[in-house]
Amino acid sequence: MERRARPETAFVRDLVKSFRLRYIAVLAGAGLVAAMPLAGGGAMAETPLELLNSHEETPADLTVRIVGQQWHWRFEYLEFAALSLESAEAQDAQRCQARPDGAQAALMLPAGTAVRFAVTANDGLYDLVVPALNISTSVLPGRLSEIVTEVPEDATGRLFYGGCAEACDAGTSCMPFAVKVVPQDDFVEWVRKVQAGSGYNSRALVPVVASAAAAAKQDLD
Amino acid sequence: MAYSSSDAHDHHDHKPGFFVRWFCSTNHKDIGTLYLIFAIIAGLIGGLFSLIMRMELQDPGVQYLLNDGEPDGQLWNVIITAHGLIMVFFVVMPALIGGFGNWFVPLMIGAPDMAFPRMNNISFWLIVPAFLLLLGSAFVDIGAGTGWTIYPPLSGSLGHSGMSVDMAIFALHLAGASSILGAVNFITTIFNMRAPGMTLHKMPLFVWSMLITAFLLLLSLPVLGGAITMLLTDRNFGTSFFDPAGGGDPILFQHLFWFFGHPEVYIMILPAFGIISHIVSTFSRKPVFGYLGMAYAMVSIGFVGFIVWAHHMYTVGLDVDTKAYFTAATLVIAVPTGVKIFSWVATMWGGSIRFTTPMLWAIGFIFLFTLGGVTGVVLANAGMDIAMHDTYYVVAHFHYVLSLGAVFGIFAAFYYWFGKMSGREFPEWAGKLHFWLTFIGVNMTFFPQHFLGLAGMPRRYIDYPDAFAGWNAISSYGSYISIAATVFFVVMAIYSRVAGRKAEANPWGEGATTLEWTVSSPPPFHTFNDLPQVR
Repeated sequence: MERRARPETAFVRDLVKSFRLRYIAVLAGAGLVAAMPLAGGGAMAETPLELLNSHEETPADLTVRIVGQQWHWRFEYLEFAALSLESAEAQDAQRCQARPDGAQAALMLPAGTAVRFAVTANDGLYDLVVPALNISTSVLPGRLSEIVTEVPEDATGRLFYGGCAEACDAGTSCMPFAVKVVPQDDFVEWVRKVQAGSGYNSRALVPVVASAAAAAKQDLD
Repeated sequence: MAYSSSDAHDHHDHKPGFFVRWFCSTNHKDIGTLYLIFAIIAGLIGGLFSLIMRMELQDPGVQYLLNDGEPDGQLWNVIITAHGLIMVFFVVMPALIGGFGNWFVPLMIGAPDMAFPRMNNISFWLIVPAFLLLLGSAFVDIGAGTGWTIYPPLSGSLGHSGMSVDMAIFALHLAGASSILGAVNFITTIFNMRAPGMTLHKMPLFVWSMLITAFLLLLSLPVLGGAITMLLTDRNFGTSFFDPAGGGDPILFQHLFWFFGHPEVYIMILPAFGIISHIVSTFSRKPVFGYLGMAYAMVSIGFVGFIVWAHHMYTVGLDVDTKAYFTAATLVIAVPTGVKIFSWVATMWGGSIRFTTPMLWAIGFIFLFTLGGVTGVVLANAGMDIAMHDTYYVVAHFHYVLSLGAVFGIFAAFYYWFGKMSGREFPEWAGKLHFWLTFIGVNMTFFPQHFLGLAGMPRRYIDYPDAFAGWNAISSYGSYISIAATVFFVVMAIYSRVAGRKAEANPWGEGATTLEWTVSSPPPFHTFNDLPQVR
């Protein structure tokens, strides 16, 4: 085509048409796509690598051992004797309950504390997830996976759901459980109640919880 | 590019009889056709499984997969496993590598056939029994309900004590052997049988993509073979490679599996990259933008594909430094992939574009693959992945790059080369209708799965909390549209093959510059007895 163009537009058009500019555009575009997530820290609350580092072990106020087995979870509060609960068990592969029972929270967490989950399995491979608390970890026989989760203060009174996110035989979708976040005082109360219910004299142990809770509060302040 | 000779005339076009031609075939075109037919049949079976899955998930509760009126989780697992393995090993790989690779690598480099024609025959006839073994495993004992990743201990003798997983393992052995032999064949053919004058840097991009794919197959499949052989001995001969009770480690299997598994996903997408480059260039009537950049982008994708495997395992307890490395390495892949996407766009830029059926599929591929790539960038970050690991977000991601990426590539190639392969034309309106039906169907199926994943719905669930009901229903409706489109496609393909109009040697005009357009449609039984000279 032989259209005549004004000098200034001709310059722009030549530039746009020039091979080199297009190469630069292609490379710059590709680079931008790659750099966005790494360098996007200015716009985001934390960069991906900062987020990753935040998952590294931090001191915890409370340890819960979680054992996966076909097809339910057992939650053991290691600091408290006789405090071990189980999520509703799928009787067998044929009786699956995919909906967690919110009225019977199996995992009670005190708000404003850091909780360490030490997770292992008795038989197969599982993946413990509580999406709302950003928890997902493989659960393996012969291994102890450890994650520390900060239970946010503003989650007080809320109910979250967890389950299994790894193919673990017929009952994969039958392992849901409810997680309840309660104020620290209520948590202490709950510990005492459960221990009393199991016939255990809890008086001697309550100060441990109280000091853990106090330490957690100090951390936050 | 210009070529000085071709041999469209077929004076000595002796075809063998039916049995010898189709069952003892050594002809790359016939073997390619066999692979394509095989992939379509396997695709219909794999698609049937996905239809059953979507029907079951349409509403909360278990409606269909019942055993004596009770939910049958094992049957569900068998179906998801079969769907995954079939689609990966018996649909996408045979279609792209065995089908279009066999058909067009020799034609594009001006070779009379593959380097090892009889080995080519073995490659095909290994994949048929492999498929039968896999299908058969569903009917033996409780079926292989392990997920396509066959992680122990679920796939061990504890989780699956019967023969079914052994049969599935043998199926993978056979399919792996078939692919390795095919890879050897492609590498030898491409290195040794290019027409005079065709240097590596003049090779069509589809041939480049097949060369890189073949290397990925050759290097990654033996690792899978080793892993599943160890699994086999764990199951049957009392070893304990993956059993912690005997000092083994289930995580070791995951590392081995994904050392194969990640290159595997590039094996499925790289040939589609090559195909899309040809189609975009043909219908923009321009040479592909940045040819060398395109070729070496694929090389670097192939290389980096080997050093990112643990991004599939962010939740198994890798330490933070390891996760940081795999995050960074995975993000690096966005650079060569971005080079490819932007180069396709640059190829179209200023071109005189014709929106024919193959071009629609190709543009659909670029759009949807980019979408899947963007969610891939999200998932690549170990910190983010914790929240999305094994959720429907991951399902949406890999279906966007495979079901809407690789499969769109297959359909693009099918429409691009259908006239060449069969000598018949498909009705243009039918191809376009198929495209739009599929485009709407698959997006309706998979886009809502992003929302489900972000809301925390895990994968591989037969039943789910009621909160996830809405998007699951929409996803299921979308899958019905996709299945309808696929049935339409099969009917249309059979009709076109039987009663379509005769196709010209080059129906696409001056944009189609590669060697396969210099021979007749369909090509004679033996092509390039006199080697073409490439300038």
